[in-house]
Amino acid sequence: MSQKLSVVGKRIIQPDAAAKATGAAMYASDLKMPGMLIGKVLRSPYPHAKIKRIGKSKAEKLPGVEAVITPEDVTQWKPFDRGLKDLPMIAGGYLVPPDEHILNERARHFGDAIAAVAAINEHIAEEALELIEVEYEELPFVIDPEEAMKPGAPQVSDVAEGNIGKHLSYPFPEGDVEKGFKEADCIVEGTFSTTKQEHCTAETAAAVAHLDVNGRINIWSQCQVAHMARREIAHIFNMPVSKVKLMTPLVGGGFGQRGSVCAEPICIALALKTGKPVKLEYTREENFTALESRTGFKYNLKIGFKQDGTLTAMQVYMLGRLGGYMGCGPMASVIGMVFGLGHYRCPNRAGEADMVMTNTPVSGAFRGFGNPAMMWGIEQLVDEAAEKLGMNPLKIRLKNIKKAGEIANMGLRLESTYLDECIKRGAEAIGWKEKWGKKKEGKMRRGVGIATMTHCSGAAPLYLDHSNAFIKLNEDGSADLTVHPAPLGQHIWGALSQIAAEELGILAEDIHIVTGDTDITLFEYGSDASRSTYAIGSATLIAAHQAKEQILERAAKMLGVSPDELEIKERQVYVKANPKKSIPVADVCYDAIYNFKGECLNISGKCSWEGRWNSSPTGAFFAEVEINTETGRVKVIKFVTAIDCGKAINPMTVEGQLEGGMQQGIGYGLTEDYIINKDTGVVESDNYDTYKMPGILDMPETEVVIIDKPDPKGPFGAKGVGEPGMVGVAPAIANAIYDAIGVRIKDLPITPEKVLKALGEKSQ
Amino acid sequence: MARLLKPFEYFEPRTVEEAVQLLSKYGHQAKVLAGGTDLLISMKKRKITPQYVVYIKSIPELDYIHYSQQAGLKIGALATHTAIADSAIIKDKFELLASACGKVGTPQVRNMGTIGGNICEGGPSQDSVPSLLVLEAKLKLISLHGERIVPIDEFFIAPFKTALQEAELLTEIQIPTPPPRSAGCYKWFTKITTVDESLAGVAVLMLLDSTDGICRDLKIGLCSVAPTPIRARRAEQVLRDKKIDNSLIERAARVAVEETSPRSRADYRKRMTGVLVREAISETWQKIRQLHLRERA
Ligand SMILES: Cc1cc2nc3c(=O)[nH]c(=O)nc-3n(C[C@H](O)[C@H](O)[C@H](O)COP(=O)(O)OP(=O)(O)OC[C@H]3O[C@@H](n4cnc5c(N)ncnc54)[C@H](O)[C@@H]3O)c2cc1C
Repeated sequence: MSQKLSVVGKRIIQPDAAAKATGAAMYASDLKMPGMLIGKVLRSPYPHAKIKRIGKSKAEKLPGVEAVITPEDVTQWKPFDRGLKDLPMIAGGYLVPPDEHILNERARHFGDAIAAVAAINEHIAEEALELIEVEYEELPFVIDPEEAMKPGAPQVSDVAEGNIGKHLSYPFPEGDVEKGFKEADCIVEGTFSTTKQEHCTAETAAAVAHLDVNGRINIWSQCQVAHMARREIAHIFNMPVSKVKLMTPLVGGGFGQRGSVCAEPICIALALKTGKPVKLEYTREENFTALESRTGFKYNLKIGFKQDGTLTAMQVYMLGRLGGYMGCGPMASVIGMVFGLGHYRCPNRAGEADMVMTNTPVSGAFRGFGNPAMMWGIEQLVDEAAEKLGMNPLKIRLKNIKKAGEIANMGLRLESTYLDECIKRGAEAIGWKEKWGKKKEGKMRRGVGIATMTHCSGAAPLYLDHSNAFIKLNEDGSADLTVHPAPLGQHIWGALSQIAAEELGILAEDIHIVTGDTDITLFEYGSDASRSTYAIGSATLIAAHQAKEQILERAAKMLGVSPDELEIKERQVYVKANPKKSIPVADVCYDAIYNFKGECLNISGKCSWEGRWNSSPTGAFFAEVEINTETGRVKVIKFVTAIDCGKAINPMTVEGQLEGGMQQGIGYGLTEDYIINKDTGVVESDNYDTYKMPGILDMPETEVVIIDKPDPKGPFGAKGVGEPGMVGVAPAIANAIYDAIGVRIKDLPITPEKVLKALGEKSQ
Repeated sequence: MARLLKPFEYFEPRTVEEAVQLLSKYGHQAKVLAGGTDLLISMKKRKITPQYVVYIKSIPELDYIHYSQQAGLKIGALATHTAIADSAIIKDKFELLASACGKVGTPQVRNMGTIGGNICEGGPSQDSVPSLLVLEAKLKLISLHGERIVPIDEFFIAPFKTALQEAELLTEIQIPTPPPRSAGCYKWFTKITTVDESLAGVAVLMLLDSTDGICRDLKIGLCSVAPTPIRARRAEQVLRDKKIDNSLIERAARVAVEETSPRSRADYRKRMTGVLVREAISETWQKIRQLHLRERA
């Protein structure tokens, strides 16, 4: 595609930037309605307990309290699934009947919802919570998945026997791993563990709900998958989908946590009970304990290589901690195996996982899903093998990475890949040649490390990859584009505007995004799986193309030529051969709408798009670290991410995604630890004083290298770039640590204590 | 953590007298509010739910930094961490205190948080305290019954428990001028991230004889490694009246480690105390030698 682009590829300012910079932007937490009540939730202080009695009369009597609801008040509504309810079936069927209620009479984890109140203000609502009297019967609990699998362990869920939420297999197994390992000259293996990272969205979960005069539930929801959230809400509240109107305000970060319903069910229950609008906004602690966070794994990984570095076999067994309810957690293992085992070319691959229920907060989707967890181990073992085989870590990777046309991680054709260029250009940027493998001495030691990854652009073929776009041209030549991605801070509106404007030959600022209301928007799967620009962008491109053809057809008539003689540039339709002959797009659109000659038409286009291919983004990550061998502290000095995300629709937002990914990846690698007290089951790290994300002062010098070569399938050659940024960060750091001090840390996060311990063991 | 505070009655006295009157009237149900960077968190966590809150930043006479050679340094309880960290005289003559206050939290916290609040909070990890311990600060406490002066090393009793009595206000921190040819420093490691609570903090103040290189005096103050901030007095003895060398410094560091009793991450905190004590003494030693060289020149 050597097309000359005039809007795509430009660093345009985002349509919502000014509102966000000035504070005028409206988030769910900013919404106010006349007579609106404030909701609050009472949560279990125990990891596992039966509610023997709830006394709510004191709370009900508090002036200003309009409703106090307990498990027995919500029995008419259905239990629900936090995740996407069809997803499990497609991935091999782990469906356990949903058994999480809006409020639960048996708390299955610290922070489980027990009761809720609605009051005229937040103060009274908080006070009312303190007046609810709960008599708990504490039950034996289990935190650790290995313990949970033992006979006689406390049962977390009635529907998951032996606490096995589900046993899952790698959906794309290949060859015979035993044979593969026999053929190997070098086998590396290890046990790796990863943590329950929390999303730390800037805005906590929030929702506003009310029942309108027509008896429809109106819900302002942050959910990343709006239309499926509407379906889930209708299901829970025994209503037809037509009785739910779901609206998406600006969302202060999702990262997968808003891939499920969060505050919505309790908020709606309170609105239905009171008949008044209710806002429910979670505290930071609730965000940590009541919602899903990353699935923690422990896994055994084994990889075989030929003497020349060629991969012969990969095998993994994963043990994952699900928490008190199923959530999206089980899929993290499947996706981890799909991306991890499918990253390199390897003829023999197998993987199994047991996803185990425990009395801990629920696990779910988080940027990269299982990919960061699997690459944490794979990329360390590849380095280990490289050392054994006397190969450079770059070479061994270049040898095994896939080429375009091979079968990609998701079982479809690998449409394009420039991972080799990512590796070469990233290595240059970090100074690999001068820095790697050098002898290190002294107290402070530096090292460099690499990791690579392949991800996805959308969910096809594992899940319904269905997007829609509708575009109409106004009489002034501007266009309204109706789409429903979740505006999570990734600036998707800008990217879609650029795609539509490029195709229509108008400017990005001419596109007005119509969105955020399921009454208006067509079905949209939503913003996850790094799919919005790719999938919704594809739908947008086709819709815009249809509209463009109508413009050309009418312009052709007006100019007395045929449509294929025309082109549109900067809001003007030109005769290609004679550019002096032209007509403004606006004139064509005006004439179409106000046509008194009997040929009225509102120029428009509409596309239902379903992913039948999936262009994989690839990337290489490079860390330079400095380790203080006396304190064990690791400082990331520089981080480089080289990304093949196809054509960058807006390089500025690509950089934003990747820099954000570095920050999350450094946190995953070094600082973030979700601590659950083993003796009490209490979540101890439930706010930023105890759960430590890297701050601005912890960030290294960063560099993003965008390869910027178009993919044959994506809109204007784009591929997904939302999740990739954090996938390879932690293993690149671990490999850099090995280069610096010769020790390997296999369990996350890499704390100073672990580094010192490993150094101590090494010197013995 | 709740988002809102429990209701309370709020006062803004204009004078110390008014403040202590209010405090004695309401006794244990009253709480002093200075910058609020500790107190408001405890109130939101419902660890403390005072009925009466006495805001003291309304008392202008408590916010000052004065210095004279004779009287030494006098800091009003309301001086903020920013004011102390930026003060020319403190940077010049009490640098270890300036760097301790400059370490606290973020600019916002330093602009709001006061040294009085840091001391009266009485936790194990108050960053200003090790420096105040080695500088042998004295605290002026005022109540309706009058005024008393308490040496800072008698102030800390147990975690979050101090010698401050009910209805007593800390008004001033008095710090004698360190002898000439002395130097000091404050060193710390944070728990995890760059802006974070201290994992361990070490202040050192040393007096060295320029003629024979003998350490005439050494004081070591520690925070975050014991239930309260402490002096490492046995470690101090290792160097006092000795000619300093690296192996003695190592020994002092080892002894200091033995004097700690951390409550969590104990092994690591102990080990890091050793590293910090060694680094702090070495750095101070360097500083003094440079001072001597400059004096001679
Ligand atoms: C994000 C953050 C980071 C922080 N980082 C650090 C850090 O790195 N190092 C550190 O040491 N601290 C840190 N702190 C804690 C806090 O900022 C300091 O302890 C600060 O000095 C407290 O002062 P204040 O004026 O805000 O005290 P307040 O919160 O107003 O009061 C604290 C306590 O002292 C009492 N009190 C205050 N003044 C007086 C007085 N004159 N007489 C009697 N009693 C009094 C109050 O009643 C209360 O019990 C941090 C706090 C936050 C929120």
